[in-house]
Amino acid sequence: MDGTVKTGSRTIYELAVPGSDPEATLKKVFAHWLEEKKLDAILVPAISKTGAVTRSLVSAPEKIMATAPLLPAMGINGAGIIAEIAPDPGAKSKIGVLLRPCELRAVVELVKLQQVSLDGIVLVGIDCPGTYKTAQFLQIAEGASDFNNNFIRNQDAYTSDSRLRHACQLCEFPAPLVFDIMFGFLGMNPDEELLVITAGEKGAVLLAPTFPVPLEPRQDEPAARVEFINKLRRAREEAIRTQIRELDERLLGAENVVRYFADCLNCHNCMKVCPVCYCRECFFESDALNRNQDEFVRFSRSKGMVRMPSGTLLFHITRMNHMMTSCVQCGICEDSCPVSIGLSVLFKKVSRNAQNAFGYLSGRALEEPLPLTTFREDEFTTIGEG
Amino acid sequence: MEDRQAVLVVGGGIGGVQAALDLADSGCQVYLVDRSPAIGGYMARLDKTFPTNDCSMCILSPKLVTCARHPNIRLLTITEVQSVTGEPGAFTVQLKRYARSVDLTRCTGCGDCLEKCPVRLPNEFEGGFSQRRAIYRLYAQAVPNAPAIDRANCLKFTRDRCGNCARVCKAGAINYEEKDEEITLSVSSIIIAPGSEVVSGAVRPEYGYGRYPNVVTSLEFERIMSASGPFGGHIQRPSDKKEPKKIAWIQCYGSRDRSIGREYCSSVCCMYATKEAVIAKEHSRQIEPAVFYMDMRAFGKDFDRYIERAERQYGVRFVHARVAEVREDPETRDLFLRYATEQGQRSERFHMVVLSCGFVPPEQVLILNRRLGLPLNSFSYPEADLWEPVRAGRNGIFLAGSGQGPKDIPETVVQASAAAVKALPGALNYDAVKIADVQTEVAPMVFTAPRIGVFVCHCGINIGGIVRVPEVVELARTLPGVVFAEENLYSCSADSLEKIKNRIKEYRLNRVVVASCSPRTHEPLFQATVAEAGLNPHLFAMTNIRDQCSWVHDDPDRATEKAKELVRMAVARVRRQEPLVSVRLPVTKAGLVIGGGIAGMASALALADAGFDVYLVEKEAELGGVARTLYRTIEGDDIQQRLEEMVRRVMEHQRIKVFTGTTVRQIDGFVGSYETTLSNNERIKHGVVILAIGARYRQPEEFFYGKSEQVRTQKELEEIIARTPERLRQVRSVVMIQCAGSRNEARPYCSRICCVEAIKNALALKEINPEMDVYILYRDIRTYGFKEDFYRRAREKGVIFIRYTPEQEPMVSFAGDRLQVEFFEPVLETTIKLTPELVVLSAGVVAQEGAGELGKMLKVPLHQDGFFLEAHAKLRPVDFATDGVFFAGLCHYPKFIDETIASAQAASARAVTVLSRDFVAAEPYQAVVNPQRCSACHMCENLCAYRAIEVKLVDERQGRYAAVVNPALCKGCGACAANCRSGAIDIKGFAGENIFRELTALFS
Repeated sequence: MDGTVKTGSRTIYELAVPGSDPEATLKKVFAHWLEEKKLDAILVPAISKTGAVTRSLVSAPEKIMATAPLLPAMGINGAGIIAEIAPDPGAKSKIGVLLRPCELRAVVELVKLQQVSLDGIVLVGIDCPGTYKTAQFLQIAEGASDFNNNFIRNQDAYTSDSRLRHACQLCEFPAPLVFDIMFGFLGMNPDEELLVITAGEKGAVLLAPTFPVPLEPRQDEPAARVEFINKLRRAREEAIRTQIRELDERLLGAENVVRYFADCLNCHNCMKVCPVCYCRECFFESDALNRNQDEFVRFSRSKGMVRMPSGTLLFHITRMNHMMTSCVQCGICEDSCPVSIGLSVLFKKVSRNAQNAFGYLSGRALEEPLPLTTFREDEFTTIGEG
Repeated sequence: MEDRQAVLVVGGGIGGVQAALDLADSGCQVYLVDRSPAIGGYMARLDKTFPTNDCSMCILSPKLVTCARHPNIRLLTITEVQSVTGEPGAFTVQLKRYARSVDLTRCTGCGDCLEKCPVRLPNEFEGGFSQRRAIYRLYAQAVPNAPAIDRANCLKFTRDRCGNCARVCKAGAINYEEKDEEITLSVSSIIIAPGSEVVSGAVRPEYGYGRYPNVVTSLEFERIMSASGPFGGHIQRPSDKKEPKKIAWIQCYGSRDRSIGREYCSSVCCMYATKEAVIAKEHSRQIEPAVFYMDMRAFGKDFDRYIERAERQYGVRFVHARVAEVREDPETRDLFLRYATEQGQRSERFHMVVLSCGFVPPEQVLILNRRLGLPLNSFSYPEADLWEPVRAGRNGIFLAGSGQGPKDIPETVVQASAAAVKALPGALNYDAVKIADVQTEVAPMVFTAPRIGVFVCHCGINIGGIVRVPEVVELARTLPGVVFAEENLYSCSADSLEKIKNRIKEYRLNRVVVASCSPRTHEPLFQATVAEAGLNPHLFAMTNIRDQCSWVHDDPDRATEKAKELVRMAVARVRRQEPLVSVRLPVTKAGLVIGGGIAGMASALALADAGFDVYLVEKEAELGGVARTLYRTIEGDDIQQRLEEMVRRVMEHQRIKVFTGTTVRQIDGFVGSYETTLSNNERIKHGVVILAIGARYRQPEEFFYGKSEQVRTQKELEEIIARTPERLRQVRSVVMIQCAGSRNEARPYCSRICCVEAIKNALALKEINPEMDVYILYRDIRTYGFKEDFYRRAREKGVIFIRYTPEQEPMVSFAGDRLQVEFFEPVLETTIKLTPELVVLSAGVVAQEGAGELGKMLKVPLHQDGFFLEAHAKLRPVDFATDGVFFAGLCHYPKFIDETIASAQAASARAVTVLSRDFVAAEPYQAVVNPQRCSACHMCENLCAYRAIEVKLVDERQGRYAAVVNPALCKGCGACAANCRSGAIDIKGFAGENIFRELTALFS
């Protein structure tokens, strides 16, 4: 599966990096957009005053300096924030949202699921070599100076850092697929230049009439970048294959599936943090599945003993069933699991299989209809295990 | 008053039953008379039906029971018509009702009497392969279910001994004193649907029927295959009860046979023989079926596909040969068939032979016809006019089914409905009549603790043979909420239903579970029963312990366990079920008929004559459709003259408003209240829609058509014959090519009418110039029914018929400017070249343009060949699955004029069952949205095939969107609910929570 997108009216530029400080350059651009009223606000990653990894919705240009656009840490998937901000198509304001590729893909799915309207939203994408869990990041970055810039300067090393989030180590889409405008640096020297691509009018208007940093149009993406991304994808595909193979062995037989989820506490964190789990009230949090005491006893009698809390496997399988066609494999679910159930690789496998079956890729394009909303007479003609 | 609104229906087969139901559902009082102790006719004896392979009894039985339960129908069994006097609108009918000797009001159908009767007689219903008693029930699911005493063989009557049955009958239902009864009825009109008889197996002694035990008739073979038949569904030969390997079907047994005085084709044998071969093969892969035929007459919808599948997928061998003789090997009782193929004489050993017996009008029909004074045709069937196909030769009397001529089940059903609409009493006052509507009012449910009754069905041996039913009943008694449980031999029998009602009252049951067969066929019946006992019909759950348990398992222990689990689940579900009410939707008492050809006009006339306003929309400037370009039927009718009469009647009819040069732009609404916008912007309101958009003659692309004046279609030839016959006087040689561009990969169906058209034109050519050489190159000549006679006449007149196979299609070429036809002659085994002056193509019929568009507007489906797709191939041939939409004529499939008119009248009959009511009840199983849970993701909206659900602003203040269901359009299919991840949608009666309860019961 590749990440080819309908390339509408994409325009490619090369962005100069004054003072060899890519993060500062991005901030300068964002501040300019706010000053010029091109955006009413912009959502950017930041470190809070208490040192926590977070995001800020910045409207005052001068506050941009407190943000960290290149912050290589991810506590939640930003699509969840977009869902919180933008359910309403009637918004009069316009905000930019700086998002990683997996976050953008989740936004695309939410748009298709009619949970988000992009009318007042400008999708600002950025390359992503990988991210750390919040705590891990704070530990690694402690005492280091200019860590964010260094992280992208040493891409070769960091993209294969085994301390990256599990899902990031299995990520085959380090570059944005759908965006209005994006900034790229993979395979490039970010001290000298950054890549800017606009897709359509919404992105193009951000570059004119004035721009704070020198901008040169380009014919293509730099060859080195394309090569870097391809190489990275190959390496990660290899990792995916290996891990899925291991998973297949671990999951062989119904008992092993049960064992895989055996530690589940039924806390539902995975559902709560999932960017594309969109129900207002989860069915599993309703009382539809409640048993009374006598029923529990009869349930227990049927086998002599049963696992408590009950129903956890049903919850996971149902969630997988509901989410597999839209899952972007951001792995936030695994990060949020108090008992570290291996959800990243599991959802990687299940989502890939499901999406491949429909010739679908979550978040690839806004025009691509959700698999279950279409019908082709000639699909799935084999009944049973053909 | 009431009598003037009554109709007599004679014959309780599928035809009579359908006519009775349509009339009764239109508010008419019906007397349904049958000679047998039970209704059901031949269809009750069939195993499966083609081309869908549905179980015959499974689809028939609910109709029979509905008949018996319908408040507007009175069943009169073992009854014969003695005489009819009077006039249409006021007939007086004398009936003789023979004594059943069993009191219908007392009999519970328990069957104890059957056990104790000492007399053993061959069971005619089972082809004599099993025995019955002198007190007997015609078949297990018989309606009425009470047995009857065969007085000619009963010891009580012959020797005044025994009396066992009266002794064991706990209900005191046996009445030896019962007298035959004379009944006088006043009725407005009469429908006769007496059916045919199959030809006696002994008409051709050379096939050895009666002498060789392993030669059986096709009807006997149906019983041999049937699960409820004498061998329990195991195919075995009568001589040694062993499974036969090689079985031969001999076609045209007693049909197309001048030597025995039966020249017509029986129309159904090719298909039923193929079906029997396929089903036999399904019973056992070992069986090697072979069908010996003259012409494979697969002229109906999907029939050719069925034959194709039989050959390719099931390996049925079709042998084009006439069988000369069958001889038995006395040692093994195997049979040798001597037969002649085009390649010469053969002899082959078979283990069993099935004679594909044709239809004959039974003695009783002849008597009936004489008593009613109806004229007969030369085949001793009642005569009918092509343009009034269901009207008998006497006013006020109508015909339906195979008693009028050989025909299959769907055509019988079509005729039955057509007869019903024609027989509707002119004086019928729709406002005054009572229409059976079991779900009218629902008493509000006061919550009380569940008191559940469980009824577990044996279904004869279908369930009871594997599942230990008493154990299941025991288990049911222990389940929470169950206060009563018992078993039934047949839960669907009239007496069992009565028993269920009594139990509900006796035990104050407020929930009912029936563990039996498929809800698809039987749920409405049980629901109606529950409703009659005063319960909301949705406080009922059915679980299928037959199809999904006893039929698929052979280990009694485990099957019994599974049945218990299924019952446990059903009880868990029903405990939580809530009463549902159907929304009542008003009916606009007018119909829209789209298409002004013969079908559309016949529909409009039937509907208007029944008393309803009709809007008839025709896209052309004039009414008449394709018939405007046709001249004569093969029977000799002047089509233009008859058409003109029809157009005049339509134009003059006060209730019909005609729109010519007009199309339908948009149709909004649903059954009962449609609003349609026409191309002239006029808006009309109506309650039903009948599609009658016809079909088209195909313009051929093969054989130089269009490139040479000498290559024409049959239709063009017909026009030349009609208008300028002198042009043909000098023609010396004509070659007709059948199936040109038909029955191939692109159009894998038979256009049904082309063989007759070709023969009609060939006869006309011979009339113009008897010296003319007329060749018809054909694959199968499909002159079914009485039309076979014209095939014979054509051969007698010297028309030369030469068979070709698709592998060796004829070739048309030009040698210079001479037209040349080259083909393989199979008897001479040589290629023949002819140089005719004219090549005439039978190019077939194709679906109408714009069918798809109309289909989309009305949300009704198309068949893969582009014709409309009926709700059920056998029993709902003019209905769509969508309520309120019907179709007629060639948009269903190619048809002759009489068939077209019958289907048009049938569609109107079905429409009247809607229009005669003031209200229709919407589907009670509706999707309901919990707006609190709905995330407004629009998934349901995208998935709904009926466009019944839509995301709307539900709370303006909070800007909240949620899905909203249109109850009139929702079919309760559940696509939305199944896909709603938020669990915001439930189908009433199938709430997610109830299903989880059910699963919890299974997994707990």
